[in-house]
Order: sequence, then C-alpha cells, then structure tokens
Amino acid sequence: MANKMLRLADVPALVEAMLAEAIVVGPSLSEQLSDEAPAALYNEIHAPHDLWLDSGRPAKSLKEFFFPPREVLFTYRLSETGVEVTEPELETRPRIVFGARPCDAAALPVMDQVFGWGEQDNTYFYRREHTTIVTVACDAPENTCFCTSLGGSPTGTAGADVLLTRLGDVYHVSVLSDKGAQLVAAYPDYFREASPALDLAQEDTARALEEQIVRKIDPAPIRDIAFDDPLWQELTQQCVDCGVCTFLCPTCHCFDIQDEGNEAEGQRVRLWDSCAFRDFTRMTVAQPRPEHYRRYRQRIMHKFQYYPTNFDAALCVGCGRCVASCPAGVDITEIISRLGASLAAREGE
Amino acid sequence: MSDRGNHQDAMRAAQTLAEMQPLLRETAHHLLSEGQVHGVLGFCETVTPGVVTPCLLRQPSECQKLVLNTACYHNLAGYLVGPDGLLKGARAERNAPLAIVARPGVLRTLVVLLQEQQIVREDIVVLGITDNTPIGLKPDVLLGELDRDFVGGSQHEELIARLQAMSTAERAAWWNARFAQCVRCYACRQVCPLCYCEQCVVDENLPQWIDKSDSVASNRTFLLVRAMHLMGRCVNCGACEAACPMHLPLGVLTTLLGKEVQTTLAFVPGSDGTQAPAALGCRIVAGRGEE
Repeated sequence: MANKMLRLADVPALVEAMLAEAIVVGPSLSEQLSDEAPAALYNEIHAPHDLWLDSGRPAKSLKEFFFPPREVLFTYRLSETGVEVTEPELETRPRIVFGARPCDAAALPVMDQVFGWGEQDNTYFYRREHTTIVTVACDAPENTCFCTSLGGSPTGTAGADVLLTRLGDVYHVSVLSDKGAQLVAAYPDYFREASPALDLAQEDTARALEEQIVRKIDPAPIRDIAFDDPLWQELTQQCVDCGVCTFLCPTCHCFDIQDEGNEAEGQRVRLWDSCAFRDFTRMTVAQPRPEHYRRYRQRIMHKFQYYPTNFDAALCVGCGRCVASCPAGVDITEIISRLGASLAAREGE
Repeated sequence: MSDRGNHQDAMRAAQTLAEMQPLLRETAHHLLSEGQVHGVLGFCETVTPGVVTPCLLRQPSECQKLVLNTACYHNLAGYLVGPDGLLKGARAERNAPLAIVARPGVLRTLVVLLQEQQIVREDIVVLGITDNTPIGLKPDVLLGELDRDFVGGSQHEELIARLQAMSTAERAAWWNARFAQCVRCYACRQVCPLCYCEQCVVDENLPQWIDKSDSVASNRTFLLVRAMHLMGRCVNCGACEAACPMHLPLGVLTTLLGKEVQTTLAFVPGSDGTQAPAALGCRIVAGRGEE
C-alpha cells in the first residue's frame, strides 16, 4: 500500500473531519489528574485541541477501550413470567484511535489470541472490528522502555492500521492494513502523496529511534525456568501486592465476574482482576497462592512461559509502565535478567 | 544495645539526605557486624537511575548498597505489619531486632503502630531522620535532621484553600472527576502501614459492602472509607499519594480529616508516644463550635 504524507498543520482539521463521522480516542492531558503531576491518558477526544500527540507514554494503556475495567455482560430482571435477560447495547459508530503508541497497538494482537481462544469474546472483537488504529512513532522513548526486546520498536507496526512518523513539520504515513487504506482514502484532502525520499527519511528515523531503546532483556530463557526454582522466593520481597503493574499493563487481561444487584434485578459485570491481589482466584477451601512470591511467579510465568507455550509469543510488549510505576521499585527487566542468569549458571554446572 | 545512639552524640546532625547516607551505611554495617540486629530494612538502588527499591539487608558487606535520597518515599513501616509482616510471629526465632530506616513520616507511623500494639519497641532499632515537628519516638540512631520531610506533610495548603472556596456542588464535581480516575489497584492501601487489616472491607463479598466495580460511586466509597478509617491515625507520610498511578491527591482527604481531629480532639497522630490512640483516649476540646 502506498505510503502518504500528512502535514502537522493539517492534523486539527483532519481530527475535526474525523469527529464528524466517528468517535475519536487519543492521548490527552487530563485536567482530572492531579494539578501537580499532569500526565496524558487515552481519552475520547471532543475537539482537536484535546489531542496531545507529544505527550510521551500515556499513564494507562489502550486496553480499556477494548477490554473495559468494568463491562456489563447482561442485566437481569425477575418478572411474573420468568427472568428477562438483556444484553447491553454496543456503540455503533465507528471509532478511530489517533495517536496511540506503537507498544499499545502491539498489545492488541497479543490479547486477540486470548479473547479468541476457543470461544470468541463477542464484545471484545466487536470493539476491535469497529476501531481503526493510527499510531504515532515515539520520538522520545523513556529509559524504562524495552519494546525492542519483544519484537517492537518506537516505529513498530504490529496491531496498527496506520503509523505516523514525525519528520520535521510533516508526518510520514505508513498504511499498514485494509482498514488503514480505507481511512486514508476517506480523507484525501489531508493524506497527500508521499515522495520516495520521505520513505527513506522514515527508515532513517526508525533506525535512529530504535537505537534510543537502551534497556534490553532476553525473555527466552524464562521458557525453561523451573516452577520450583528457589530464586522465586528471593526475587520480589518488596512487592506490596497492589495492582499497579497489572492494571497499567497493556497485555494483562485477567478478569473477575461479579453479580451486582439483588434477587429481583441486577447486572453481571466483568471487572479487571490482578494476580497480585491476595484474594485472586481464592476458593472456598483455600487461596492457591498464599505467599507473595507465588503470586509474582504467576505473573512472570504467565507472561514468559504459559502464554508463549500456547501462542508462541510473550505476553509483554515492553512498554515499561510496570517498571516506571511500581511503588516498590520492582523492575520486571531486572527480574528477567536474574532468572536468566540463574538458569545459565545452573546449566553451566 | 548499650551503644545505640552513640553516633549522633559524636557529630553535628546531618541536614541533607546525601550527608546522611555515609552515616547510614556505617551504622548499618556496625549493627549487622556486631549482631545487634538481624537485618536492616532500607532502600537500595535499582538499575534505573532515580528509582530505589526497599531492601532487607542481612550481611554487613551489603551495606554499601543502602541509599538515602528523595526517591525513598516508600513507608518502610508497612513491611513490619500485615499478613506477611516481617515482625509477624516467631519472635523467638530471631535472636536480634530489625533495624529500619525512618524519615519523619515513618517515625510517626511507628509511634501509631506502637500505640496500636502492632509492633513491639524492642523488636526494632530505629535509624531515624527527624524534622521540626513533634515526633513521639526518639530514634535509636539519629541519621540527621531535615527542615521538613521530603514527602507527605501539609503540602496541599493551596489546593485545600482553593477547594474550600468552592461551592459544595463545585467541590463534589471536582472530587468526582478525580474519583473517576481511580483504577482500584489498591496501591494506596497496600503501601499504607496503617492499612494492616487482615480483611479489608472492600474485599468482603458476603455481604458485598462496596462494589468491586471501577465506578465513581464505588471508587468514592472505597477512598472515603479508607480515609475515614485512617482518621486520627494517619500521619500524612505521603506514601499513598506517591504510589497512586493516577496521581490522585489522596493527601487532601487525610489532611482535612487530620485537621478535624486536631481541632476537635487536640490530637496529632504520631506526635506523642505517651498518648493513647485518638479513638480511645481523647476528650472533645471544650468550646469547639462556639465561634
């Protein structure tokens, strides 16, 4: 598909045109956050000036727009004739995500595997199909980013329909899918012809940006790490069992199902859950992971052993949010290194 | 434990965290080498510049890893209590107490935990940093004196004044916009040393007092119930706010409730180790409400 060019100066008019036809979601500086520490969040955009494309990594990932933190699965009401069950209405307008980070887009195909495993998750895929994703290359990766160790890059294309790479006062527009081609074709006034020289400039920029990701991990050895390796018990004694890492993670997808209401009427809801919580998967007889280290082991094993066994990829895109936001300074990249080194030492014996 | 506290007598109190760091390392090394403590709970560097992690050191040789800087906001007292607390049970198995690095907010937390009988004074050796506020616990080793703690405290005066100038409806809207941002990760609760309940009300499901749902109403209920449960106990150490991934101004809630307790009961948590907890030992100050 032929690549295009978009002028920075045309972005407000383009977003305005998109808003006329679709729901637009993008990074915005939310004044709802503390005045002292403004950080961007992915939000629905109501006007072009809401969009903040220079914001770095938004505080939360994009997953909530496909897998909401709280989702009503159905409502029920007991009547004289029986139980009425009503499915929720889904948004019918198309949706455009404008300005997602490549890591957040890359997380979506990773989650697709889980939500499409056996039974298709209807609402998740409905939202996936109704959404076109325009990513913008990271021009200032953070020191906690490690996407290049997991197949991504600041100009990564996985999960995206269109990738914008800033080159001075224009964006190079990579058209990556049929949906992307349709989007670009729908706004011909803004997506202009690109010269071959612009493609070359984009490739140079992509290489330069990739070099800015200095944090590296090798997750492969975790495939072989033993469940009962004694190292697990020493790794994360400082973890406080909160849900920051899992809730900010673009690929963590565990959920809980709860009924809210009473005997006569109510809702069944699906809520984000976290393996870090002490009551995660607690059963009547017991808590299967009573000690802290068993819960953290679950997180690492799920990401780098169980998911890879099922789907041949890691359940991690290296966005670095868990590293940056852990209140106790737990660093998944350091954990991976220590586990890898321990395994290598044992094999060397 | 006869030579606890010798260090501060020997030298002028350090006034910056950087100045205190060598004394901390030296003291920790000494305490571990002499077998006076079984471990030192402090902060160590991580591979990320500017990020520290709580660490429990057991060997004198490890003490060079200890750091002291403004990234050390975590309230280490949290590791002493709760279901997995380091001082939980098995006291006989330890042959020596545990040393803990404590900035002013942490010192005040230790006072409350002692008052609430969650820890025993003899189980800890306090490597403390004081400030110009009353603290109801004398550190065993004084690392230094700051003008004020580097997290927590009353750092919201301007915001509180702005909120109090609003109408009730405006203020409710302001708060609801913030409660809407809560992701219910419970980091605030998990980092709080005074949230040591073995079963939190928000985790109860028979009956379900508070919806698990991430909604404005249930987020508000959770955050206000937590703040109320800390009323007269919270020392404003600032750990909850520093941990919040959504940067919610949680300290405003605890500060306002703290002011209420101070005015009504003349009680400042953590300031006086001889007092009983506010809910047990205080009398309403005469004349309150007559102005």
